[in-house]
Amino acid sequence: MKRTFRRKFNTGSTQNKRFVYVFLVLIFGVILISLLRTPVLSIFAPLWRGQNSIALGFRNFSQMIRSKDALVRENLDLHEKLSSYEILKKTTSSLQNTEEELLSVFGRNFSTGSIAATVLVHPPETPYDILIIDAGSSDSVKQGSKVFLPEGGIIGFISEVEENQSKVSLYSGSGIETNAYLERGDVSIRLIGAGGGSFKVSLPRDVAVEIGDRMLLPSIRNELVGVVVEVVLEPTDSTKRVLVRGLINVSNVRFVIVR
Amino acid sequence: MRILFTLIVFLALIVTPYWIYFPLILIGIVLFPFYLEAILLGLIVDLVYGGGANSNALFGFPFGIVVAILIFFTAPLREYLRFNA
Repeated sequence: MKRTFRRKFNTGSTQNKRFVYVFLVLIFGVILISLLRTPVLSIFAPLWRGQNSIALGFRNFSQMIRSKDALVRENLDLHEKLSSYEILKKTTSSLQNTEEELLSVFGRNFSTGSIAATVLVHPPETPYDILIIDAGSSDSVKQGSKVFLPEGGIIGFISEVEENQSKVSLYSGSGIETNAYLERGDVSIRLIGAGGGSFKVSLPRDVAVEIGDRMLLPSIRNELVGVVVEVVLEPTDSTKRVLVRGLINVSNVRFVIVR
Repeated sequence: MRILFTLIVFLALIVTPYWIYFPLILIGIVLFPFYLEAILLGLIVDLVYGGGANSNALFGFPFGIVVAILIFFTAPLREYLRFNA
């Protein structure tokens, strides 16, 4: 006769042993990996560079096989956009020149060096809102330097510098708090990163805020950090919840400027 | 098999989005008994993509810690699983 027996499951001592093993691996892993920080990043960097060029190759290939009509339509659209941006650029550059002249009169000069860098890794490869760029201490990148988009607007700061790479922590990183102000009404606020290039902020219900309002960093340059995309106000709430979108889709950023 | 899987996950965490290598690590924890390699993989993710200067000591490795906790708690549950019919 076939008999089945109840299986013996762990005793307390097995559990204790498991806990010790897991704990030891964790501790030794942390020590080992912290020691290997620089070599690990140096090994990964060429792979990321290769991956970027492969992705670019695929993109170019997909462009080649698109239909002629679609390309003509896209070309026309882009021409239209370009002409409108040209006009906008002329307007803003004259304003910027005036601003710079005024500021230099008051002893604030901004001719500091900027470093252009290519983004090696960006979300979603990185689970946190982090970019890895190909400029490091050898390119005079310093910890705490601010990171801008080439088109203008600030996105984050340098949180870690290696010789040839640096890590950029985006202001939109989950839980990162940034002092900013709402352009409408000059209201000081604390932006809280919500991940994925967005922020959330709570404001008293009396503060006027509308979709499209700009959030700026409090500096003499008033750097743009995001735009309001949603305002939620329940009749029973004393505060309104505001969702702010960062300037770009963090998954598409390819170049940044470090200042 | 176990080493090959670990190598695949290691390559995946360099070149693929997190929504590919996170589930792979979880699959490894379920598939292989006491898959301690996952802790090292988790620590590498935290080291390479983690918060940098903001992070400190052990708490700078949140994913590694989560993986370690998962391994500890799934190890007894694995004994209830059968992978053959």
